Amino acid sequence: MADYETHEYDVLVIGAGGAGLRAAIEASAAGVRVGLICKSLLGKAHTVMAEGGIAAALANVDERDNWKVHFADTMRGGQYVNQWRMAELHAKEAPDRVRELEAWGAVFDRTKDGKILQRNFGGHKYPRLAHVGDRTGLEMIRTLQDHGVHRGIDVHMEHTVLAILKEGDRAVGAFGYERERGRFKIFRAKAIVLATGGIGRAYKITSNSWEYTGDGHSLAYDAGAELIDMEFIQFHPTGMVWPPSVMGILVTEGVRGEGGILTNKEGRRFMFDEIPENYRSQTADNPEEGWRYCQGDKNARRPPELLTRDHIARCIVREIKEGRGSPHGGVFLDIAWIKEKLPDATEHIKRKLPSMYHQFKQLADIDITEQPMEVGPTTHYIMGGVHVDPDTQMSRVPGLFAAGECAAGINGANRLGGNSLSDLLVFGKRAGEFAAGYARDNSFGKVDTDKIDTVAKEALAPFDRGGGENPYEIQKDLQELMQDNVGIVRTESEMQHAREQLQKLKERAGRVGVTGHREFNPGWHTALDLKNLLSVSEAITHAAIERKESRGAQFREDYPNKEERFAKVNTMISKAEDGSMQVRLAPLPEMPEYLQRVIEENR
Amino acid sequence: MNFRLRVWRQKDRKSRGRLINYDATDIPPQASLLEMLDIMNERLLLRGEEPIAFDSDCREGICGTCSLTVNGEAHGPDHPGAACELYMRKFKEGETIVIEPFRLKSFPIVKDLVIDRSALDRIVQAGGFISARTGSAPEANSILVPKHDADVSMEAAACIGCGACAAACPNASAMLFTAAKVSHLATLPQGETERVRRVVSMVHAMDAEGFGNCTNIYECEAVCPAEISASFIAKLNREYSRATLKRSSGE
Ligand SMILES: Cc1cc2nc3c(=O)[nH]c(=O)nc-3n(C[C@H](O)[C@H](O)[C@H](O)COP(=O)(O)OP(=O)(O)OC[C@H]3O[C@@H](n4cnc5c(N)ncnc54)[C@H](O)[C@@H]3O)c2cc1C
Repeated sequence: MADYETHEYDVLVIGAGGAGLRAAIEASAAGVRVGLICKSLLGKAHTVMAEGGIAAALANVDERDNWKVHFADTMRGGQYVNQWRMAELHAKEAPDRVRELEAWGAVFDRTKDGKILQRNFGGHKYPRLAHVGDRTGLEMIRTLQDHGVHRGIDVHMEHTVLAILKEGDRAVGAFGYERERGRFKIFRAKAIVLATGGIGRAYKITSNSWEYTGDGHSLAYDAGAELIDMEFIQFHPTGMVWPPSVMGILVTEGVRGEGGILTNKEGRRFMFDEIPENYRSQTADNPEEGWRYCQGDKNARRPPELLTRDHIARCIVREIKEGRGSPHGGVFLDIAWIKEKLPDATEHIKRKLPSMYHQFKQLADIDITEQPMEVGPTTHYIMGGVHVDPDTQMSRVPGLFAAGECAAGINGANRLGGNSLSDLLVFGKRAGEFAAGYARDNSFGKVDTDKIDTVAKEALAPFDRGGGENPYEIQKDLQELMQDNVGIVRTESEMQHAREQLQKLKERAGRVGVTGHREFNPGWHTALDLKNLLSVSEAITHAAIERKESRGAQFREDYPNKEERFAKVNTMISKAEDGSMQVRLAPLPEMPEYLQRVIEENR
Repeated sequence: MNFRLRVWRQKDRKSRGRLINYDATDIPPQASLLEMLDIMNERLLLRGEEPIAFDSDCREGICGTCSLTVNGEAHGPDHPGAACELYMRKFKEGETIVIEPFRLKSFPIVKDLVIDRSALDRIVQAGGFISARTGSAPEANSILVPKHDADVSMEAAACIGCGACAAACPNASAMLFTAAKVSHLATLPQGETERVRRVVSMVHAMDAEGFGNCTNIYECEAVCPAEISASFIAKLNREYSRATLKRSSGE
């Protein structure tokens, strides 16, 4: 083995978004030595982009709220295939985690009497999202980063992990490269926390940035962990559709929370046309009541624009397919109409939704206080990820933990808006705490030098294939394949087609070539990301084929209904001895009676 | 559309860089500046040349990763907005566009258009935090923040840490950045305990990183993508005097 720069930590955290930072802070507070690695710059992780808010039953705005209602909302949103224990811990601990953030200096919007203000969001019964205008993620990451850096956590920015190193069954380190010089490095650790975020870049239209290539999913899978619920991908109903350069960029649900309505080209408010049975009792049946809800009337029910994301995305797809879409293939989202209701509507919109106002003005030359926006669904979030123990966040690989979007279980078949930021805090903390405990109980393992040699050789191979396949082309073809065949509306034949094509893409990826040097070479980085993108795409496709029903975020045209036999199972993906991908259905853990009662009480 | 690009290329920290000419042909007007660079990079790769290194992340003006000087202006001519929010339709057909990294001593160039802004992190590390303990959340609603204070604090907290303020300042001063960080925490009750120590250490860190002083030129405010007001610099100065007074009076 070549002589690589080596670092040693008790706990190594891979990923510096909300989950990774929170884990690192907790582990460091437990008194162990912590290293933190991220692909981009510190503080620029995906979490920065979150706009809407953090869901926590603080009950500041509506005193009827409590953890039980939040738990029941999360389970209903997830169509009851969530890991109940995670949903329970999340609902119970989120308020503490938000208050802790406040104590560390996070600014929040305030109620008149100085408490943290909470806003309405789809699927949440009461106003529950603590927020900072529409830049909650920025505030959260800034607070965690500022709090984290002074604790003496070692940060390795612009480092990408390529493999988890093991000794026997146990994870004992990571191997990666730094972008600036292209040099390889070894990180030895007693415990490792994966917090790498999502997979959006497997699709053509996405709200996610270049970092979201499913690295943690793929690293854990290769290391022997199981991936759960991979078929469930959330398509956010409102992404920008015009101009093409901004396609996919998110239009926050906050717009609808403030009273924004969805209309088709005939001007019809089509969301009233189809309200799902299990939400009917909670949904307004006329525009007047919906508006009163957005104005904070506690006796009003929420407008249908605030139903769950999967449902809205499908209604929009229906309008577009049936020819009632907007000029650029979306539908209209109108907040300007509230002028009819509020005398100072223009100022109100600018104050409540500053980044949306700015975003449309800047990117599309549209004034949202005057004109409707054009929106359509965009790939947003993956509910699936590394299967972990709900309390400790450890995967089935000893020493390998996961938290945040790359872990899974809390959301089931669909995630409610705002439940991710709270998930990062609750389970980031837990992962940090238990990883530190594990590190205290175990010593350093021996890293596998053969593995390191293989990974290094594979990583450098594209340089020997100048004139080989272009990495950008393969990435583009993959994104189109997934968008067209494993997207919002799915069928068996299209997914089987995708599965075959993925094999071809894998072969092409094996012939990929790049030019230039190892220093800061974007072409090379794209080539290295391909493996992860291909693994997660394959996992998504396998799982989606296996679940022969429609539930939550998965909609199958060939099985349009929920099926009893899939009501109590999760799909599990793992790597077999021979390297092939295995999928199995695993029964859900039995929910204790007291939680079943909570669900009944909140029907 | 077609443009003449002059792009700063520099192999690594130690090498000398220079402006290289490229023809950017057939660029869709609705492309952003960064997408135009993506298109150029794909073409360079096809020709077997090394792509242009630049930093970006969210590409919607939220994260503060991009750090380009376009035609001599930090983040380019279209204020307020980050370089990722700059659109090719804002340029004239056939125009020459000069693209360089932010330029100042405290942000060394890493490669091409990529710079090292860890100096800003070190300023924050010196005091831009609240060191309340980890693990025990405070009681519900034990911290009440008057709405007005929260709003002021939020205007300061809007800083995305891109460093354009320092890049635009003829004195290479990072006062607007530091002022935003200090004002944000100084306005909140949670920030009170460490208020004196914070401002002193952050200002010292800022000086130690080699940033210059403020002489009220207001270029920082003009280029700030988060529209942070230069009046926060006055607040920083007040905070600093207050802190040094308190210290010298032995408080
Ligand atoms: C536009 C947008 C708006 C959103 N709004 C909301 C909202 O209002 N409320 C809400 O609850 N949720 C929201 N979400 C979802 C939420 O923001 C994300 O799910 C969450 O931020 C993910 O956090 P994370 O800590 O898991 O990962 P991230 O914040 O994405 O961090 C991932 C980290 O891992 C690093 N990394 C990745 N791969 C590697 C590797 N191979 N080696 C080393 N490091 C690596 C990255 O550099 C990064 O530091 C939104 C998402 C988007 C895209």
